[in-house]
Amino acid sequence: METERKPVITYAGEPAVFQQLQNGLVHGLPQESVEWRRSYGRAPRHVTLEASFEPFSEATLVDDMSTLVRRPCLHTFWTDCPDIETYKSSTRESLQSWLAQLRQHNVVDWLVVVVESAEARSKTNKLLPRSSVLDKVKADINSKHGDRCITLLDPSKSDSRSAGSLHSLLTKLRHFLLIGFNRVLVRFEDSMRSQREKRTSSDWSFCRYFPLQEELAFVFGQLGLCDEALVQYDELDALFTQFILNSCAGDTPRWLETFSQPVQGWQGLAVPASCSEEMRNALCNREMSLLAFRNYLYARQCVLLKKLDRTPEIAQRTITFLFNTINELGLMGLEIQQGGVACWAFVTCINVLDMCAEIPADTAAQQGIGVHTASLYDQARLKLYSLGELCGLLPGDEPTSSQLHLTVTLSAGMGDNSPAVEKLKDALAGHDAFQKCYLELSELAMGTYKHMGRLRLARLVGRQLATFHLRLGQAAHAASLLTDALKTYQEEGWGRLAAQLLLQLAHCYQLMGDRQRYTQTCALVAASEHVPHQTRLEFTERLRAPAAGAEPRLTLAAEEVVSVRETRLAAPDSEPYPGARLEVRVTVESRLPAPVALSRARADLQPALAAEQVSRSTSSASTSSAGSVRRGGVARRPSSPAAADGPAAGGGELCLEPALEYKQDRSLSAATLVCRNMFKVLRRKDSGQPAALARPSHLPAAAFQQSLEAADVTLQPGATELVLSARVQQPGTYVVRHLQLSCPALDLTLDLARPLRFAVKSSPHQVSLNKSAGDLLAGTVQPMTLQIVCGSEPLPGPSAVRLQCSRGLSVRAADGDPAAPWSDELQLHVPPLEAFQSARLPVSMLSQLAHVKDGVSVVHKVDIICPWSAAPVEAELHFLLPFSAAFKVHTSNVRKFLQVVMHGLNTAEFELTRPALTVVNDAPVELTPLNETAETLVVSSETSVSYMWEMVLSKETPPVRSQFSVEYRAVDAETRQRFKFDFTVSDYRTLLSVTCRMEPLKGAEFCRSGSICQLHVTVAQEDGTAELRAVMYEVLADQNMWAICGRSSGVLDMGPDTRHVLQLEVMPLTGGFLPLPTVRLSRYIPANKESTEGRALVTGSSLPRLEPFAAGQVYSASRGQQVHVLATSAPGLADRSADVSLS
Amino acid sequence: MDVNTSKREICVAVIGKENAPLYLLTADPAAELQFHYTVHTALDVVEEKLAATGKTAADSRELYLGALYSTEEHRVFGYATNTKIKFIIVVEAANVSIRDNEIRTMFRRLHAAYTDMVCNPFYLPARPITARAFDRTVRQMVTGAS
Repeated sequence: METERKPVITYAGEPAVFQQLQNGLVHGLPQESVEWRRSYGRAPRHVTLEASFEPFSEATLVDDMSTLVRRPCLHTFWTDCPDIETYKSSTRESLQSWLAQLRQHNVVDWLVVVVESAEARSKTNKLLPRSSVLDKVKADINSKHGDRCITLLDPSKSDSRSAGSLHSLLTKLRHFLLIGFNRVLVRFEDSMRSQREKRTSSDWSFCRYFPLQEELAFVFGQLGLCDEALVQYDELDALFTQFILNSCAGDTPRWLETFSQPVQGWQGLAVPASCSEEMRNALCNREMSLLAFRNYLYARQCVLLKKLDRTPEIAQRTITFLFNTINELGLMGLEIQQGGVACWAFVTCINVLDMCAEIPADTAAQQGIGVHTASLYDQARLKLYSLGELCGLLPGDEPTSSQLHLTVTLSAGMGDNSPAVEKLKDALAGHDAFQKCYLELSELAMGTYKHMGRLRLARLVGRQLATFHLRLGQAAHAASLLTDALKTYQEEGWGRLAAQLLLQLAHCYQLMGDRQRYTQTCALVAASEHVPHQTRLEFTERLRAPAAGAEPRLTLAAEEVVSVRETRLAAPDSEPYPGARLEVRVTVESRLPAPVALSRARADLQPALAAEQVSRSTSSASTSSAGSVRRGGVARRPSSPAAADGPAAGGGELCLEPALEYKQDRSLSAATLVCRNMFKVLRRKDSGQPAALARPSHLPAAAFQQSLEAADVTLQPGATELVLSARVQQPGTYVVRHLQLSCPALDLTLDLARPLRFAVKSSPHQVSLNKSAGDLLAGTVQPMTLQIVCGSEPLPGPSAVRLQCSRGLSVRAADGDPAAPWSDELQLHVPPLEAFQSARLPVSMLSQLAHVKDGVSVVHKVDIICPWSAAPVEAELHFLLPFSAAFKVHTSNVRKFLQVVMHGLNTAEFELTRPALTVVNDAPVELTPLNETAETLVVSSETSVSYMWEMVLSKETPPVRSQFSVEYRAVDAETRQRFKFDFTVSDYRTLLSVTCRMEPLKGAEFCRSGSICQLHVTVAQEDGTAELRAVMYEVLADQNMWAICGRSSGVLDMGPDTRHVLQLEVMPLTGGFLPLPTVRLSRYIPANKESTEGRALVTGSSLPRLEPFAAGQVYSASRGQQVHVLATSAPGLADRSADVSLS
Repeated sequence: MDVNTSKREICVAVIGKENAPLYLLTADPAAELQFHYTVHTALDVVEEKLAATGKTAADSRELYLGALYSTEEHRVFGYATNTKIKFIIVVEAANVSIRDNEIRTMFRRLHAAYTDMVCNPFYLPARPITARAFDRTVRQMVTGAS
């Protein structure tokens, strides 16, 4: 069959010559490939030429472009005429007529071969040019075709010359054959193309056109250009498809009716090595069904693909081929036996898969093909399943007689018994074989999909396989497949699909009797929002009363059913303490569609591990009892004790570290907190990982040993607040991590995503000493309260608290006997106290009032000694002084007066009565009070009080130590206290007196500014006993007022009753009442060398020095005096008149 | 028989970054479950294609993934945004009138609608899409009215 499609070479001349060579030529031609330069700009290709030889006949020259087959491409003329004579006599004539015939048909592809025998060659006259036969032949034919005439040396010889000659003949032959062939091909293609252009005309037929283009494909195939051949088939394929599509759009050509006949057979795709003429004829005779045509066309494509070593592409194309063909069958509305298409598709798939199996495994091609083979397995599986459904072969079905009949009909239409057909027939023969085949294909499809990483497709197959297993009653198999699929769907959040699986899975587990998983699945179904409400209710009901057997209770992980919205302490402000009733409010959200009665709800209470102890329990509660001035007994903690931790455990907590940055000079530049696990904590959480099904509840063994409980609560759909409570005895940090909700038959457990953490602490008792409003005042009774706040432990029996005061402070119970003595220690009885109760015990405090120099307050300390703590609590009390006292000595010449001034320091008013001043030492001084003794004076910060005594001096004036005392009483107080003030007066005797007098110069009436006046200073010694040798005087004047002329200072020798009168000239600088210049006297101690006594030793100074007198020793009689100075005596009426008016 | 007016059984789905379905609309609500399966399995091919483009071209400007796969009844097309949001369109295999270009246009419109929707500050990313305007646009596409 294949030979027929070889290009034909005719031979003429002497057939005997040719036939001798024919074999050599037939074998010689395909030995080498030739470069084929093609028209229409197509790329040149190397082709291998084969040819068949036929005797020349004029009939073959007819120009018929309807077929390529058997068309001669080259005409040859063979002769072995040995000499010119023979040539001239016979050969020439036949050559001429042959050429004439060719020319008549416009054939230009010809070749003349002259075979030279060795002896003929030797005979030729070498001297005469153009005397050989070849030359004659060349001369006879047109000279421009000279190259179409070649000579062949005697082929019977086997020397190198004749072999070379044969080779060059072959080369020529190939060359001219190709040229001729190309010419034919081009013309054929042109005619084919023009045929195709007519495809819209009504009498055009695809059935006629198809063989035409197919021939082109054959020829390409023949030339070894399989890809070109494939292109032809692909074009035909596309053309046909387009016709079908157009026919759907209403444009149905008449020839298409050929393919509209009912499909009688459903032979699968078979790929024979060669093309069957039978098929071609059937097509031409319009006896081919669409399915058969498609099979044929695709088979041809497959053959070419295989030849091209593109078997993987077959697998890829097959899927499209299947769908496309099925689609076309549908579009054409063809009648076909039900199941026929499935048979066809199944056999096709298996055949192609067999073909693919020939590809060696573990190659890149096999890897690449995997996706397609998986789809093919999948398709085969689906088709088989649909056939099984039709023929009643599914597990649980029994085929009816009509179904059996159908099976027979389908088998009949399957065609030849290829292995694939056998396989299908076997599978349709009985239940077992069908199952085996289906399971095998499913596993293969699933396995291959998985291998190719198409997990989702594998899961889909798995799910369908599970359905099959379920029909077989193999629930366990089904369950494992479904669980895998469910995992995939849940991971990616495909709720609808997961819900479907859950329903199936529930059925599975029910069949398996796996109560735990069944119930868990029921719970998930009931909680799934993708399940119809009615079904959810039904499953909730199943959940509520799961198999009322006496089996062990079930524990389900309930994360999918119930979620915890919030967990908090009921009273977040109050600190839980040991023994207290602790309430935790848990808001849960149930996804069940109906309320569920819970017999009990509880949350486990676990002591936190040491590492987890929250370090932020800041207030250690030991300091808050001290400050007496601080108001309010209990210090508020900075943070609520029940602050829930950050995100769930497992590294969810922020781990912060301090980081210090230093500048170059090692000084601190910045102090920051660095979070080491920031990315872990701040990870995006937009797609949470849903919990896997039936996850084993991994509760720690210690869970629920201690728990917060609530009984008989109803879990409503939506949010429900559960109040769980327990009594906690041990102090420590606790964590609530798990929640358990108990229905009558099962327990739902769930972990809290955010564990609740709180500390149960035994808080200590607190004691504080508090004052009432206002400041504490010394010297008067102050009411205070001792507050005892009981901690978490109650104070059962009567206990006693002791107060110990520092010196100067005394205390007594306030509610006791008013006449009770003050003491620096007090024992107070504390009544029995419940936890967190407080007691207030009033006490009175009295701070002794004493004179404090320059002070406004006294500080006292009180130690509060409590029976429950070893160390006393120290309270520091600040008492303000109500008033202070000061004294002053006044002098009037030699008389001395003593003044005591009381300054109020506080707005509180105090009454002062019975002042007294006594001399404490034996100084011979008599004090004469100048006060009204019975008088009551009030001192406050606004009012000062003064008392005055005259000191009556005697000869001796030693320092006087005296004590001032006065009785005082706060205005609102009842009792009086005595305030004492000790002080010492010394150097109070008047030694010298100074008198100043200002006089105008003689002749002037008034002192005038700008004119010299005279200052008379009289210094007199008043006390004769005083030992004064020399006194230095200095006249000190304000320089703005006085200008002193001459000496303003000097030393005066003093002695008993000495009196010096000095006269200084001073000039007033301004007018008005001017204070007199003052005179300062100092004790003058002369320099050492002049001293006659041994005082040098004492003073050790070589310079005279001055010692000031004490305030009371010098009496300045004219202190505070002023002198009237008139303005300048410049002539002026205004001044004068002013003087007059003043005087 | 005019194909354009025939029932275009079609499904439009928006799949989130983590492959969770954000939105799925089918012309025939009864067939929705089946389309869930179809769209879900299409993700296999989407992932393959994305992985392949990720390897070769750093500049993956082309968001249209082309035909993902076909079944006997349907043809499935895919489109992936730069933020790994996937759009899937399923058309009937019998509906041969839909051209690749039309599918591209549909995807582009879908992308625009999605972008508008995501601009809503109240929309939480990776949550099912319930925006009415988006739904309206997609419904128009599915029913074929434009």
